[in-house]
Parts: sequence; structure tokens; C-alpha cells
Amino acid sequence: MKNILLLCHDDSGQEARFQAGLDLARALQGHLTCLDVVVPPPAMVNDCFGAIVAGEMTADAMTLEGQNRARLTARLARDDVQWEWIDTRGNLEPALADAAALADVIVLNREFDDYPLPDMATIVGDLLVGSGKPVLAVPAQATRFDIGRALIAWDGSPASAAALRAAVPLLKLAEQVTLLEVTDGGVAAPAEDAASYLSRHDVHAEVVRTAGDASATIIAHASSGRFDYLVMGGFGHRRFVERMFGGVTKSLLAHSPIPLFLAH
Amino acid sequence: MKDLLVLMHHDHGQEARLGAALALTRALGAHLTCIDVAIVPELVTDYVTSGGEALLRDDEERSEHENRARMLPRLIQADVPYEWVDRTGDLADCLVEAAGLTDLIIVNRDLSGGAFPDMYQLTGDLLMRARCPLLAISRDTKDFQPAGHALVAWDGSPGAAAALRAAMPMLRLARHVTLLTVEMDRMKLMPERAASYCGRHGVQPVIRHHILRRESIGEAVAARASVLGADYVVMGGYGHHPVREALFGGVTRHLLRNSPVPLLLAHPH
Repeated sequence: MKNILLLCHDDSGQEARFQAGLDLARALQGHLTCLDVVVPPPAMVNDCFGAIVAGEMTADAMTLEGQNRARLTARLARDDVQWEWIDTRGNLEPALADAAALADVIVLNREFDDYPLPDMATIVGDLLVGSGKPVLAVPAQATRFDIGRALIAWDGSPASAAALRAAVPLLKLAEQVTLLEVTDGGVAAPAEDAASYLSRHDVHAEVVRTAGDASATIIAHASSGRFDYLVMGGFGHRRFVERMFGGVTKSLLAHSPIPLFLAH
Repeated sequence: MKDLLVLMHHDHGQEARLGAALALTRALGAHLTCIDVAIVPELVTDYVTSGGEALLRDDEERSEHENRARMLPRLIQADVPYEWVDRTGDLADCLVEAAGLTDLIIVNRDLSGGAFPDMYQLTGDLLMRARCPLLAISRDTKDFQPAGHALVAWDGSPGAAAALRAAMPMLRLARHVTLLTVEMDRMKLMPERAASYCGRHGVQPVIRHHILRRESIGEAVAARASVLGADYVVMGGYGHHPVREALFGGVTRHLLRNSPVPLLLAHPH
């Protein structure tokens, strides 16, 4: 994991993403690709006034992004992380998808409410499925990304396995790794298989099993203060009805107090 | 890349598969899971043929039982961390199910002449359904050199990017890496970006551009692989849904049938 794609855009989640991107790049001795996206205003009335207003709004957006860029690049220059800056215009999702081809991980927020941008949970979901790359979704209030204590939510599904495999470079840097198997139905592959796989990569995990509702249990563990981030499959289908629309993933994206490392 | 899966089955490609798998396991310091599949295809049965299906299954299982007796001592002697697993059923299904936490699956690229099992079809199925790259070995491959010269066939597509990322643990071992481009028009990701990406992972490739004369892209890649002495080719594979007639795109198809060296294939998910 070396190539980190960081969304740079002036919004309420920027600081948290930026800090996480920096912390991640330092920990991995990786490279930060700062993708600065100027989002055009939503479609306006199709008359000459609409066109003028749209033009002004884009100019405003570009000024804001220019200021954002100046602030962030000044901070990057003081740090000793390798980085590059890419400017692009368009909606967030397609801009990120295009830039993601050679990314090893994409840093986003798990939620934020800035109108008129689309819901971040939707962007995360679409990117996970569309780009096939892992996403680090950080809470908007996060001030740092610590890598010491990892929690892995395991249900034996292909998405769970994909997240585990993608997270290995990070897990190798952890001091403590916990595999949480929530047995509210039968898992396709037991947590011991995951632990064996990890041990071949020199990562030693302890297995914890609990029963009960998956979302509630995982959120409880994530909120316990004992873990720095959570690894889980994003929008994997496990149980036909309940999980069909990624209920557990949506729930964690809405409520997790710690960053989420997701893969599909 | 620490968890490898190799198909064991009494067929013409087994020797090559096992040889390559062992070489790679040693080079990567990995663990090898040998999955022996008694292949029982899904047959449409009626009361006339159902007896036949049971007979086929018994034969296959007996044959694989014998295979295991022959091959297990070779694994013990090879002195690598390994595990032997027996399965019966549809070949692709068994492999996909076993490959949940696998980093690489070793199969053959094509056992031509209508040989059983159909490795060409299997490669397509696995590429679409498994979530890890495949190493597709020629049946004649002896002495596979995992740490030799890797040729990355780069066309700037998401498939090529996926293959490059998946291959990185092997590329880090390689003595030499060539990034080969053939057609540059409308290329989404230029080879220089691929080379920077490699650089961040500690790999320094050499970029070579080949100008097509009268050959197809597939023929050009195969020829360059020979001429440059590559030990394997890395490329994006586009497997299609089994219902579609063409299993692969033209370049992949050509190389699966004709590559002088093993292919490391991945699919962008």
C-alpha cells in the first residue's frame, strides 16, 4: 500500500481527511496524490441569467479551491511526505473513479452533510463497488489516524475476505489486531481461517466471537475506545433480506466513531 | 503474496503446475494449498444416464485418490509449508470456494487438443469469479523462474492497472521488469504513470515501446516475450460471462493459446 488518493475539496470533512492522509502516508512511507476537485454548480435554469450565475458560481468555487490548495500545499511542504497535486473539475464521484486506477487506497469521509454535495455514504459505496479499491472512510471530526489497534469485523463473506486481504499492509504495522466474528447466523468461513491467512503474512490476531445483531455489536466494539480503526467488507451481501442493501455497512458509515477501512 | 492455491488433478498439466507452484512458494516464502478436485461436471441426467453419472464420479474419485498417493510424497519432499485439500464437484466452483483467502491461483493456460479439463474455460471463469490474480502456466513450462524477467503488457486500461497492482509482490522479486506498450492511441494511463507507481513500491521498470508491423497485438507481445527472454507476462484479462461466445478479448485469447511463457492475469473488479 503506497499510493494514497486523497480527496481535496473545501468542505467540512477536509481537515479530517487531510490528517488521515498524512498519517497514513507517513506510516506506510507512501505517496499522497491530492486530488483537488472543483465541483460545478447544480444544473440551473436554462436561460442567459442561469448561464451567468453558473459561471459566477464556478468562479467562486475555483477561488475557494485555490485557497484550499494554497493552505494544504503549504502544510505539505513542511511535512516530509511524498506528494503530488492534481486539479480536476467535475462531480466528486466520477473524478475520484478516474483517478483511482493506480491508487492503493482512497481517503474519504464516512459522512458529512454539506449541501449540495451528494451523501458521502453513497459516494463511498459507489466507489467501493465501481473502482474495486479500498476506501478509508474517516469521521469528519477525526483529528488523526492511528494504526496501533485494529479491529476486523469478520463474517466469512467475499467482501470480508477482500477487506482483510487489502488491509494486510496496514495490519502489519499494528501492535494489536482483533478479529471479531459476529455469529448471528452461520459464517461461510470461520474466523480461524482468517487468522491463519494473517499469520502467513506475519500478523497475529486474536479471535473474539459474540452473538447478536451485527450492526449493534460492531458499533459497540468500535465505540469502546479500545481500537483505532475498523476493517470490514463494504456492502457485501450476506443474509438475503437484512443485509441485501448493505445494512451493516450503512449503519457503520453513519455511526462509527473510528475510521473505517472498507473493501468490496 | 503468502497464500497460494494450486490445482492438483491427474491431467497433462499437473507437472508444470506443481513445478511452478513450488518454485513460487519458495521464492515468496509462502504457504501452498494443493486442492485436488475430482471433477464431476453438472450433467443433465434422466433415469437412463443417472447410473452413468455415479460411475463417472466413482472413477474420478478413485483416480484422484491415486493422484494424491503419488503426489503427496513429492510435496513432503519439497519441504515447503503446504496443505492438501480434496474436493469433488464442478472445477470452477470448487476452486472459487477454496480461494476466498488466497493471494494467487496456479492453473494452466490451455491444454490444447480438447484435453480434459478445459483450462481455457477455467481461466475465464476464475478470472471473473475469484478475487485474486491467476498464474496460467503452459504445460511445457519446466524450471519456472519467479525471480527472473517480468514483462508487463501495458495498455493503460483498468485491467492492466489491476494486473500491475496484483503482480507487485512478484515484481519486487524480479531481477528485471519491462513495461511494454504496443498501441499508444487513446491510452488512458500512460506507461510513465505505471512506472512511477512501480517506483513507489521499490520496482524500477524499463519502458519499451513496440511499433506494430503486420502482426496483431497478441502476436507482438508473444514475440517480444520470447526475444526479450521474459520469464512471465503480466496482463489484464477480461473474462466474459460464460454465456457470451468470446470468453476473452483478442489479445488475451491469443496469449492464452500461444504465449511462450506463463501469464499472470488479473481482472479489475
